[in-house]
Amino acid sequence: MSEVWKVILSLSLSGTVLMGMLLLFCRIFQRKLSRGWQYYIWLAVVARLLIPFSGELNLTGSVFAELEQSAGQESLPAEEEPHAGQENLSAGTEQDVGRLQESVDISQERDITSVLQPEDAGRSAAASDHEERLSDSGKAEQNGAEGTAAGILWLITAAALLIRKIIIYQRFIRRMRAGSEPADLELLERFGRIVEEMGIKRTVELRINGLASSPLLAGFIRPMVILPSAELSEKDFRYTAFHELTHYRRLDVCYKWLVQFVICLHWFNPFVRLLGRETDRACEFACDEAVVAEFTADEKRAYGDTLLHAAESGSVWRYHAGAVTLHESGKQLKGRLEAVMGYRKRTGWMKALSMTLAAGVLGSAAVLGAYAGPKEEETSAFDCEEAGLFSDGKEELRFTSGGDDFLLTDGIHVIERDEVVYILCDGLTEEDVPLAGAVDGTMIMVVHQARSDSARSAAAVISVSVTLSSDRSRILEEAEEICRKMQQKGILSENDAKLILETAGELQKRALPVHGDFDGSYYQSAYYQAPYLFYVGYDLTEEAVKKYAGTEITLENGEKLYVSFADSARALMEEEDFLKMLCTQFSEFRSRTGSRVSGLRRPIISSAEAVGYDVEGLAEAYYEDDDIGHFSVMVSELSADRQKEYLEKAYQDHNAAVLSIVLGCLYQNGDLKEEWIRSLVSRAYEDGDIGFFAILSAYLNEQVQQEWYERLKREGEENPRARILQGL
Amino acid sequence: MQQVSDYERELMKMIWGNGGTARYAEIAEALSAKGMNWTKNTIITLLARLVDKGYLKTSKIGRRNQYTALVSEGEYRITQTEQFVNKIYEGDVKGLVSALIRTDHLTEEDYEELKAFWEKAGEPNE
Repeated sequence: MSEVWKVILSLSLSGTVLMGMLLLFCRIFQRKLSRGWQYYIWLAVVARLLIPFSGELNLTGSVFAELEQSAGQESLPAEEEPHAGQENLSAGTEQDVGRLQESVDISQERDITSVLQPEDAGRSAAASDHEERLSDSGKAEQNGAEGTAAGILWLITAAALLIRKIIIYQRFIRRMRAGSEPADLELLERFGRIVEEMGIKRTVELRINGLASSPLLAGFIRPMVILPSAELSEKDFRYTAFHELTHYRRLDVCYKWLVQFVICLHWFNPFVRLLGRETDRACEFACDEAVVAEFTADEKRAYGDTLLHAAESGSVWRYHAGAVTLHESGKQLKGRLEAVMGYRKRTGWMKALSMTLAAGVLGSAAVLGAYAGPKEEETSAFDCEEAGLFSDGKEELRFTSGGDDFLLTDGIHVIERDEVVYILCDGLTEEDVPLAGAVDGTMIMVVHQARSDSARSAAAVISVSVTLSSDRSRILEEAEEICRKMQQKGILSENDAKLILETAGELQKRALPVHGDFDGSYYQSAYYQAPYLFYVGYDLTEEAVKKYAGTEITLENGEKLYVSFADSARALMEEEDFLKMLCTQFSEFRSRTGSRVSGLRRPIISSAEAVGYDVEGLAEAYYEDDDIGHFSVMVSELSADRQKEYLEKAYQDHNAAVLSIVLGCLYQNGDLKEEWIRSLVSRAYEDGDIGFFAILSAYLNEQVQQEWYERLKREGEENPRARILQGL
Repeated sequence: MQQVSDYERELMKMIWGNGGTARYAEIAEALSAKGMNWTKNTIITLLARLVDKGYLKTSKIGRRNQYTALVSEGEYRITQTEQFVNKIYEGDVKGLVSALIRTDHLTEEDYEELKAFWEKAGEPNE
């Protein structure tokens, strides 16, 4: 409820601003804009006041979010220095535990208000507590409760006002009806003919009621026109009928009711009455304009006379908020007479102007925006602490909006700087760990853990790093293979492997290289199954599935899988062989991945090509073309010897990406010979090539790494090579 | 029973003449046959008024409206006559009859017939 209330408040604010703008426009461009435009453009304001839509830029939303945040900020003592890290930890603990109690008690209430926040859906209550910083959840609770009360009060008042309006209107109509006489046949006939002339299909009743202050139209289902008197001249009657029936035809009664509805909803906003007044005014003018559109000058004059005559016979009954009268006030009358006489057809230029202005108004409406829920909070290492302390081991993946930082299970913080991904455990922060550097075309993932026995310092951090190609689309697979091998060799602990894989999975999900011609983020992998080279993306969104062609294939286990095809791959959808190959491939995946999250869900073949059987030729071609993606697919099909040749080639061509890829391949297959690495590392050292040194030394076994480390220290090399090795 | 205007009565006559029920199309046809070419708006408005006054009821046959008389012609006449006698002759029927005689609306035979009828009506057990 407090959410709804906030939305309404923000809508009111946006709407009022928009109203102001529009009033200004209308005053300035009064002559140039058609009356119809000036009437219907207010619908933009109505929409703005009713519908919480917003564009990319959302002014009101940001204002509200700022207010909310600052409301939360006040009660955060320990927050000032997010990098204070471990020292604060102990000091903060007691306070935080205290606050935890508080928030746990209030969490029951939170659940009710949480329901309205979409980002909370699907999380445990504990998790939603963590989302607000624990120290400001208390404050947020207060705000929540107040908001709810306000929201309920608003709703009740709005409903009451609306009901009251409806009742009054009903009564008015009934009395009008009761006090009226049906018009005689002659008048009825004349009226009927006008109805027909105007092309109105529904039957409109005509009645006379002396108590009406002016002719009016009322009712939706059984519309009727009520005249104050039957004693009207031929012309007067005709024009009056035109006017009222035009109101009927344009559904002005509906528009008025819509406005009244909005006024009720925004009862607390004093400016909203302005909306009512302006629309009523604009309504009459627009109606006049429509009636007079095809009139000659004489007819226009006659119409003006009719307006005057209507004004003369004033009378007691004034209520008209729901019905549409011929004249709402004497002052307005003057304006209308002027408008009628001054009516001119709009020129093309004027039409262009009105369209531009309309676009401007709508754009502003969107920009003004509306409240969109509390801002997603950016994490800092400090947060990581709290979450780590208080989460009771529940799986919890949380993503922030800022940059590429995110959290893993158990509060482990992952940050990315320049193609190096740091997985920071034990509350380590960016400042605590040595910076690594990745070479063009590669990416390094480093797991940092604190040594239990010391305070922060570079030497107190144990790290393990894994070098991968920078092609994010395959990173998870790559990481899996590499980790497996490293674990077998004993240089990677199970825990670290787990962290790396989790991170890799996240990164892949966030990677957005587009291959083929469709949009959306997805997992993507490339495969070569002679003679096809194709890319498969997973987890296509449902809308996207509808957009693309697709076909159903049956896997070996009998399962049916619907595979989408992007346009560039469509041709292959028709090829039997390709589909057969897909069956085999996907069946294999299915048995491999089993129930893992990244398994087969809504796959799409984003691109596919029959490239042929000449694996070596293809590998070479892709190498020459610097098509790393395709190359990496091909090279894994080559023999170890050929791969070694590429190793050499990559080193000489100074192609770090390829080097990494080939190293990875060789390593995974267990073909990477010690002496190759050692000689390459030496060469890299001699050549002073830090990047290659880094990549290669990762593949050295620990003993050799240690040797190098000693050697570097001896040779007085402070950084960066020593640092790199340290990082290993 | 509310009063109906002349035109409304025309419509009722049409419906009565059609067996007590008629569709809009039939009514419109009958009207134009009589030279009354009213607009659709007028006809339907009048029919709606009759419905409001309780003389007709509408029902839908498929997509068309069917108008059925709730009051028969006979009933209508009687009610109207009663109202008339009450209003103008203050309930005194004899006054009406003498007016009719005086203006030569009743012949001798008519009067005898009427008298016999009246006496009979006054003696239910005969």
